[in-house]
Amino acid sequence: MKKIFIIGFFALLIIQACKKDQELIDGKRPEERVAESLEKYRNELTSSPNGWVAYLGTTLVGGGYNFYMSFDKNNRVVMRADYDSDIALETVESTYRVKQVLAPSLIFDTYTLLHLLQDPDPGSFNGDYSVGYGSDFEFEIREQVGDTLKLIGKKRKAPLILVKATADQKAFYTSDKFSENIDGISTFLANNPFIYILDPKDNAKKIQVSMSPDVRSRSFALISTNAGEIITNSGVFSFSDAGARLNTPVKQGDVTYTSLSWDNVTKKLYLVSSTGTKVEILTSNTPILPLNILMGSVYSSLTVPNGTQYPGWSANFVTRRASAASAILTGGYNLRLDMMQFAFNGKAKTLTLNAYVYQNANGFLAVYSYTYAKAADGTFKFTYIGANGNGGLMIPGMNPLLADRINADDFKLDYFINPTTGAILGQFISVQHPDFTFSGILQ
Amino acid sequence: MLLVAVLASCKKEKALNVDITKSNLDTYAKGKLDKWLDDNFLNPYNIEVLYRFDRYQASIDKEISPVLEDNVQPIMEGVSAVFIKPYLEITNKAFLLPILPKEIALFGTGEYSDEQITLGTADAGRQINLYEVNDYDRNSRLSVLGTLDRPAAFHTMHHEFTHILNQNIPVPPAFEAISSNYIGSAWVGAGNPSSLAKSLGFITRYARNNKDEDFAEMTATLLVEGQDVFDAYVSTATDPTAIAKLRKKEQMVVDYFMAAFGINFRALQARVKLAMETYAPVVVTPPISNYNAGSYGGFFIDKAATNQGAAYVTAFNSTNTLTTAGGYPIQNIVELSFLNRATNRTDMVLKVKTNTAVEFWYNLRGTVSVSGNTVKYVLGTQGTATQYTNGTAFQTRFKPLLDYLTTKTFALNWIDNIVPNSKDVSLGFFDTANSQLGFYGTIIRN
Repeated sequence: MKKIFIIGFFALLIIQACKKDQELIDGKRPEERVAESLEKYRNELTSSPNGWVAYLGTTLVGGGYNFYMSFDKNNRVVMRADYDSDIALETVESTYRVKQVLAPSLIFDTYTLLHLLQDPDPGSFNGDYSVGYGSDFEFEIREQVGDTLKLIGKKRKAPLILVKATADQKAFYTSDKFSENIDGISTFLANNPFIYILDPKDNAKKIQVSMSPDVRSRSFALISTNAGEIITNSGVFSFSDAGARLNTPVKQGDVTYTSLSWDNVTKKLYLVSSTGTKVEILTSNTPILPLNILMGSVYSSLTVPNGTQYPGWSANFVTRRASAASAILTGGYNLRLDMMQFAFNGKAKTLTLNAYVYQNANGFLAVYSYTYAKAADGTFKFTYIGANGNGGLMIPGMNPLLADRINADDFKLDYFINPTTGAILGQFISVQHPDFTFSGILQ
Repeated sequence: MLLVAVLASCKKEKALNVDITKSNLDTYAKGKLDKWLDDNFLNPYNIEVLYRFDRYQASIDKEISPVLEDNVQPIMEGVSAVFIKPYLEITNKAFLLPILPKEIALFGTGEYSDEQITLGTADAGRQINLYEVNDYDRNSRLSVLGTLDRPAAFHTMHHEFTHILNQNIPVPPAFEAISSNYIGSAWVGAGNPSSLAKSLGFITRYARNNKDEDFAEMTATLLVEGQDVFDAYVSTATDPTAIAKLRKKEQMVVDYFMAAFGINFRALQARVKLAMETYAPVVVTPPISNYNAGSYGGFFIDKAATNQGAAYVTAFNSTNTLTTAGGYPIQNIVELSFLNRATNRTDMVLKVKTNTAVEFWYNLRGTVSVSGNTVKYVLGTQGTATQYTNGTAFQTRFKPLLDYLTTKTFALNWIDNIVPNSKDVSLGFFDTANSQLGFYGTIIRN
């Protein structure tokens, strides 16, 4: 067996070694083919009359970015970038070259807007020390599909897509409109922290839209719930002439969204599907997903402040809190009831009530532990486990709040807007005693 | 055996027919900047300036950005003015051209790795890499001069070129013997703070790497940061052995240039200084800053010197009349020196000699305002040495001179318009009351 293998091996070598006068592919030598492909891409880059629209992805900070580039035959490139509305007004000229480095490569060989994402000095553009945002400025040209060139970064594998621009796109990117669009969308997002679309399936279910235009945290996601679970479908977006392009499309149910459309006159933002259907992004004053789902994950606690009155406190709660406060003050330890923090752990399904009490100037913590179960409709049922030493001493005094209500009732959790400040609070509402509600600050 | 035989039998004789012109796959259109670089570096000196990014000029595993085109000409004008021209003026093309680096590669940022940033490298004397060009600003003193901890481009150029000189004629063995505390790559660690390097007699932390880096750091510092910075550094070292070591190394650098290449290092130093100040006026240092930093040890004030200040001469003469009457005519040259330059630039002593062994000493305290460019002296507490006792005994006879020195506020300025070629050699003290020259003295360096 071994012998056969060795003979076979030699036979192979002989064939290999003797195969000399092979035919040339296309009848051309390698250097001729390389020179030809370089010439082809050089021509391609410089011959687009309206320049190119470029989309870049970073690989460490997974953002998407939009550029307008115009290449000329003197190896100069003029560029604009979508980092923010101020930068989008700047036109920066630098050099480029097309060179063979294993494959035909496009190299932005002097500094321009593109390098801000790659700059290893955090002082330049707030990137991470030594790696920037994980971007590239030397790209291998991978393929050409119609008017699109697909490139990939040599060091960080950052994908770069160049699409031949139309005359309209050139007009858009080289004017202030580029900046105005970025400003419009960024302002819309800043003014409306809670935005959503209605599920096209039923036109009723709210799907949260999460979108950050900042260079540092540029991201896009659709967040929905299914049987109490949070489902996040994220993508990468960059700005575009229409509004924004989802560099990685986002699938939600049966629909694949590929871009966003911005109307700078009506100040409305739409999500656009692969079939061209536009879905308006709506705004809300409160978070889109129900509090009972976010409590214990996105929010970890609800803190009821110290006071006799507070927006969202029912008269019944005010009375019960006052009687509890009075009972522990006169209960022998002279304890003054301060704020109460309801800390949720969504994984362990526990609630810890931390009641802050003061004996003169000395602070103590009374801790009451619960487990909880959450019904399908989001109603909480808390089961009392026990208290720490301080908590134990105060139990008789705290009964109007605890034994009579929190330990016994079912509760719904919802958002409550402070009518004076507009702040978003969380509110407990007793199912059995709807007159018992209290609110607190979400953290 | 079989394999070799087969291979040999297959070797075909055939001419290679690669068209080399078609293999030159990296071309670009030359622009204005390329032409400027050709005219100013490639044609006159055979130096190619590689500013268009080429991955193979830098470490392939490090992170780095290309250079900003607009910064290339300003920094290269500096390289020409501050590095090439001074050497060329002191030596000649026949000497310099063969040993000048053949390539200077520019990069926008430093070369970043996990724990350090590389700011300059030289490759076997053929290529010098300059980093952080995108931060370069010829109107910023820090950018042009750097600091001893963070050297600027011109320091790097002179540093790396010193290595090239050393590759032709090695660093004298005696240089290595001056300091025995070389620690190799550990120089970069926290165990080598600049204070420790200084106390051991090294000009920078990097100098502790090895004798070659030490020698190059000494040369580059003396040339680029300059003698004033060097003197201030040396004089503020608290350890006397450190001072001795640094002075010894300085002397050895000066001797090396003369012995190895016939170059007058002091003349080269003066050329570089003038070139720096012409190229980037922001680096011009007012003498009050040097005075305050400890660059100067003191001043010899010669009453009979050319164009000496009239008011001073009058005060001096009045004092001399009084001391002569007391039996001690005083010498024309008096010394005004810092008492303890390493600790402060406040306490000074005025030393007056006679024709005998008797000396009269007076302590003065100077209040310096760097921003106001003024110094004001008052009489200090006398010391205990005999010369101080003499001074106290003759204080009334010295009143005209001491009054003159302690009642005026002086502004410090060069006097090369009064005494030609005296810049950096003599310093003028101008009476702020009338802006006239009060007096001037020769600077004591050591």
